[in-house]
Amino acid sequence: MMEANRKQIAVFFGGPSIEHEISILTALQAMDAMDVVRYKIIPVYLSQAGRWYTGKPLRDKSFYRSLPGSLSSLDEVVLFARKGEKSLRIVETLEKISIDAAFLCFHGAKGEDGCIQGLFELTGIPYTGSSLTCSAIAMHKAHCKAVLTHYGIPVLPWTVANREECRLHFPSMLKRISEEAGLGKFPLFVKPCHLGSSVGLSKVHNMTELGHALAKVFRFDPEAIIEPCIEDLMEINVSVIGGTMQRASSVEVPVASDKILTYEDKYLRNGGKSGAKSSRKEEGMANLTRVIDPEDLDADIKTYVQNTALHAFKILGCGGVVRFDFMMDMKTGQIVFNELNPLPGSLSYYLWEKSPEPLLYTEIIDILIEEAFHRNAEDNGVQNDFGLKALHS
Amino acid sequence: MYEAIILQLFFSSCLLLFSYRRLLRYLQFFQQEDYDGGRFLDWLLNKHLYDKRGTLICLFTIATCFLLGSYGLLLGALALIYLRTNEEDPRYSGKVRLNMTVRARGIFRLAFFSVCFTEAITLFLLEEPRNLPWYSILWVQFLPLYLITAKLLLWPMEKKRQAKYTLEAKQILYDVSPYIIGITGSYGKTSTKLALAEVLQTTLGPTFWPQKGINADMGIVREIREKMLEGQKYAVIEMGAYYRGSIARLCKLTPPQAAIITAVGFCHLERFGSKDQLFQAKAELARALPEHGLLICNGDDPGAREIAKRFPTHRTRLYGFSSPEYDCKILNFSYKDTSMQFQLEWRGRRFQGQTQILGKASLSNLAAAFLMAVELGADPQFVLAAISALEPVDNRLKLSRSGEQRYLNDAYNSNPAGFSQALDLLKDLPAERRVLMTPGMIELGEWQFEENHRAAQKAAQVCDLALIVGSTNAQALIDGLIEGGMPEEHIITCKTREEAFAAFRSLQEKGDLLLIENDLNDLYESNLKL
Repeated sequence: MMEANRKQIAVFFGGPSIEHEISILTALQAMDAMDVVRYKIIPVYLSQAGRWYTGKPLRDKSFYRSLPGSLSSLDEVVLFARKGEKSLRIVETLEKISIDAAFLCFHGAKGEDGCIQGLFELTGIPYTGSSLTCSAIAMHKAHCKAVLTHYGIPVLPWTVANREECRLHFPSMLKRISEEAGLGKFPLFVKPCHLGSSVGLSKVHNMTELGHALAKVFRFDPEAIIEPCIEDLMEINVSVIGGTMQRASSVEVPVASDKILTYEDKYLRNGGKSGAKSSRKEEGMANLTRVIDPEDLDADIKTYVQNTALHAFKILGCGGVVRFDFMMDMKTGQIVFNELNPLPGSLSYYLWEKSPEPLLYTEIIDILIEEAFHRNAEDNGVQNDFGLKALHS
Repeated sequence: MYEAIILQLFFSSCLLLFSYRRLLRYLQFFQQEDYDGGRFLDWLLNKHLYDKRGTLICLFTIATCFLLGSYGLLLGALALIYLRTNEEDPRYSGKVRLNMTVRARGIFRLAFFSVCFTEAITLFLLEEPRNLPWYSILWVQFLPLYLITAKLLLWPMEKKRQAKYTLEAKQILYDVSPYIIGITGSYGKTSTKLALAEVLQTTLGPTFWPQKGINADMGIVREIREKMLEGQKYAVIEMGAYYRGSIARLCKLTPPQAAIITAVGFCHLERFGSKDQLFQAKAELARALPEHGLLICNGDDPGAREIAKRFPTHRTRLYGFSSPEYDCKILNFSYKDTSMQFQLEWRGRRFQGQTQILGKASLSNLAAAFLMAVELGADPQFVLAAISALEPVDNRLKLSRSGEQRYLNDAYNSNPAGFSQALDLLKDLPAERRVLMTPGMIELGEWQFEENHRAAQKAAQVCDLALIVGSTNAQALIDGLIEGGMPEEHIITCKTREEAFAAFRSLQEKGDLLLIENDLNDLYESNLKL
């Protein structure tokens, strides 16, 4: 393919999020998997401080070990939020770096929750993954559950506690939580409303621990969601991909080291720390110990989970590749929706590689980019100019 | 003729490449000495860290020039390139990396330009090419002086820039108008700041605090300019006492409405000259409070208690372990797994708490944070919940595990009380064998030998094995350990931290608990060679 025909794909990652480093791993994997014949890759790193940088060193994992000093070897760039601005600009020279589409590899706040999506909506740059609205709803665990409950998808009872209220009436807030329907019995689960990667997650057995867990959440998130705890639980995850033909992947059963999946289970086990020795593809979320498409799991359960995920994908208007997490109560057999990740770690490629109709990482990336162009064209097709009738009447 | 000129130019270019990297290396240490030319030169001379390798190459070049004429310069140039390639880039390596701030960049650029200029002049005036290496020795040896001179030349501009930034920071402070809490003390101030800031952020409202151990004026100015936001209700400012008047100066920048004084000890005593001067320096914070300002002092520390007494018009509160009269009393603390359980008594009520931040000293800092937060109106239960959620700051009495091995990390500590408390904690924690790894403490002036000696004597009572890193305090530590009763064969001396870790790995047994006490910056490494 001629150089001129290659699409300039800017891979955006990092960002002011607690999952910053996981985003870097996802981006490095994705850039390694991209078809370089079809795409010219432009890495764009958003630092924790919120500045944007580009440069070849961003493709090298060792670069990030010398942050922030190593940033001086990069070009700082900005994106002007004006319609039709399809280029980044180098801050020092204002030189343009054209981009055809933005490939998003963010996890957590500001990158997965609709913020950055909003910026691309304003500029009209096609971007991969879910839309602004879907990302915002998906990343608020309570809102997401409320929407899906409305459409009949089973979820556990929940309540939300926010930091502002706790500051005013902490003891009465604890009392109110314990009196909520379905939450009267310990143990309970407390987690941040907006974060993934099991950050700030706690299982609590009494009121004191509940208070401690809320304070732990409030270090990362102003809102906490509280749910009952299924003691004998199996987690079942499935990925759904958009594009012209939406479909669900094989299911996976993650294996936790101690009943609850922690940040360490997800990213640091199996030599996650010794990244130099393991292959890049096995880092990040791909590093988790899991069983994909377990043979001893009832086929009906797998089908139910896949169909429910597809249904939820449509309800929320998701795009790109999304991972839905379900929980199964091993005592009752009840399966409930737990949460969804609009931009899952490692883009869930490991689930697609082992699906009945397998997709390679490179193919997933192709689907995501094509969908981004398609959605952008559709969005541009709607009328957004109604004339100045009210002002002239 | 032309050959000689080309060879001279080539040699000079290679020398410049080498000087570029070497200047950066010196700048790294100059920065660690707060750009204080006197202290930087003291360090250079005391540690004999004037250049040896570059000079040896120049001498080698002189010798080869005798044998080969101008072609000797070629060999010298290649040797310089080799040396430059193998010299670490301090921007990316070292325990305290060179931070290329605007100031550092300015000093470096001017110094390097001066090196280039003097080299060009020398080349222009040089009549005999073979003499070039002699001049090169001078350039290499004078590199630290180029930095010091550049700093002096830039000082008027730097002062102007600092004044501009300070004004900006003051304007931001005026606009945001947070309730400012100043914290000082010879030890525990960074931990108290971080704990209090996080507790306030959770329990009372948006809070500003400078990161990590930033406690000097320009660091605080930068943090205010970059991170202070409209709507932040509280600002927790750590104030470092570097000389008499430094806290008073900080108080003008960030006028405190409340203050915490954690301790008046011996830390950085050499900078003050006497204990009274140090006491007066710490008292500047209390003096800066408005009438009826909230002053919270560590009742267990005689110096802090004395400051509380001297300002009767303030709303003074004391915290600590030792007296039932304290406003916040710490009771019944014990260790459970990797956390610590404790009780706090405040206004006649007793509250149960827990924390992952270990050690009696840490508990004292947490009590200070608790007392400040509740006095400002936070719910005590919520404050204790927030305290339970705090995590140990890296390298401060953090108990971590790597497989079967446990490490108690206290690597940033550098004062007698902190060392002693780390040993107390080491003693309290369950272990089969207790091992100490330390280079000792620094900046204790004439008391340095004595304090290291005393700490080592105590360590001998607690530890089964000691790994002494570097040469700075080795004698004091070894003497102290032996006098404290540790058998000589249980004391191992190592040149570097890496060597000490290797020695520990080769000797480790199941159930060992290793205390890493103090991890000196590069200035004190005994294996540094230039």
